[in-house]
Amino acid sequence: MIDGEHNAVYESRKCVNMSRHPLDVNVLLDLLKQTATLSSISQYLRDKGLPSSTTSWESTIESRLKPAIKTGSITVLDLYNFLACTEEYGAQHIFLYSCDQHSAQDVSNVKHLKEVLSKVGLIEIFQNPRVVAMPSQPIVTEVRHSDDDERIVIKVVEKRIHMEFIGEEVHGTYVTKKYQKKVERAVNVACLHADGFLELRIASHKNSSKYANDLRAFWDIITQIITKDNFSEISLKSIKERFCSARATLHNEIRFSTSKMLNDFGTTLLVASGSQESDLMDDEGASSSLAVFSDHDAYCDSANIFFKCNHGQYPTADIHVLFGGEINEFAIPARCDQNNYQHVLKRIRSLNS
Amino acid sequence: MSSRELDRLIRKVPQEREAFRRFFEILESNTSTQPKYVTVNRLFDKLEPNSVYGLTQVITALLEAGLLEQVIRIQSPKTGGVIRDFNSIVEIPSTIHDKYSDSEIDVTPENMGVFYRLPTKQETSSHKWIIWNISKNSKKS
Repeated sequence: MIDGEHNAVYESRKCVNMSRHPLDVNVLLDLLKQTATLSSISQYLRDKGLPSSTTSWESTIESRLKPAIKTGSITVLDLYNFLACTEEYGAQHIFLYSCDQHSAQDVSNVKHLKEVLSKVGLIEIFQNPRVVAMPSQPIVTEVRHSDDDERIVIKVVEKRIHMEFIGEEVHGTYVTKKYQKKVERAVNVACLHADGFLELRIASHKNSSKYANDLRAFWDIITQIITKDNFSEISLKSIKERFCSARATLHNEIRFSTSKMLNDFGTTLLVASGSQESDLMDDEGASSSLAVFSDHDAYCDSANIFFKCNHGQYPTADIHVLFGGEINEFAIPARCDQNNYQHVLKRIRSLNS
Repeated sequence: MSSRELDRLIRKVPQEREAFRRFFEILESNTSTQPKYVTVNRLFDKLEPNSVYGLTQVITALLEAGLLEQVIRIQSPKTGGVIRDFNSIVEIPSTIHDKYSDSEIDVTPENMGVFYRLPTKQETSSHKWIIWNISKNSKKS
């Protein structure tokens, strides 16, 4: 985050009238502990002009956050906005769609939106988020509207269960593998832009790369507000083609880590850099082989890239992006802040045009 | 490949006229003697349908017309190389020998994918492939 911009971002969010269902401070603090990093909360406190040194989450909560809330230096709403900025960006698979601008304007018309939300029983959470830790069923916790580019934001929280391998037991000639059920909280976000561009951001799974079921379930929930029939998938074909054709010109901005190219005969060319820090573009042999294969009707099926840290500007850190999966899908495996996310999304849209 | 066949397909899914036209262009420009296998994603990018739903309608019509053949492909998780193609999901075993790593691997959704076989130049020009597929599909139904 560029200095001084933290609070501007958190406070620009249009969450008002918290009195309808007051936020539970303890749940909020617990969610912050699960979602944010100590360094980000420390930076947040510093930007607020508050004591910011931290050693552990427990001491941060007890000696920094709770006293600040008590004295009014930080409001519960401030903390919610900080949580929202943390949990809504990164560690997600993002699916891109578009509809015509006219349809987007119809959907995001406040009067129309309020009518729809009233009809489906969600008017309570319009501009008035609900903090939910681990709901038994997926639940819409927030519907935000703004006059900015991001016209409508819908947030859904769900409980997920995944299996974690614990170990194996041998009984004679039988081997039993043991897994433990692990519960986790997932936050999925839909964001409709003024021009009809739609992002569906699905929280990453721990041990699966398939998101078809999650996507279907998410559409089923939000379709009462945003109708799927109006939207078409945006293929990321152009940006992947550019990774082959314009590698050299993107060299200052992007570091190429792995690239998987295919042709229609089933031949695969997989090239991976020697380390996460090294760039395939610096390896003449690797980059030439990709270029030659690409000249023979091969196409980029998936790629692992990093948008390089641009000191003093965005992104303020290296942002890892995976391209692969569905035609309209990319992923940001690690959490990142709102400004870095928005910068990366903007660049992806521009490079894909 | 006749324009009558194209018209017949367009009548089935009129809103995807351009996607069918692009498919016929691909077949006409295909000079390969080896069969080509494409994924749904590749078809989407080549045919540029209106949506994924539109593409499913196009694929269904092309399968019915015998102009595409669907296979389920098991690929090596180590190399991405093709281990084996199956015509139906019920034929797929739970484990398979990965010749690229010389080991038995579990078949999972991660190393399995749906591919569509495009006819070769000879097959397209002789129409044998299409007639064979049409008769195969009509037997199935």
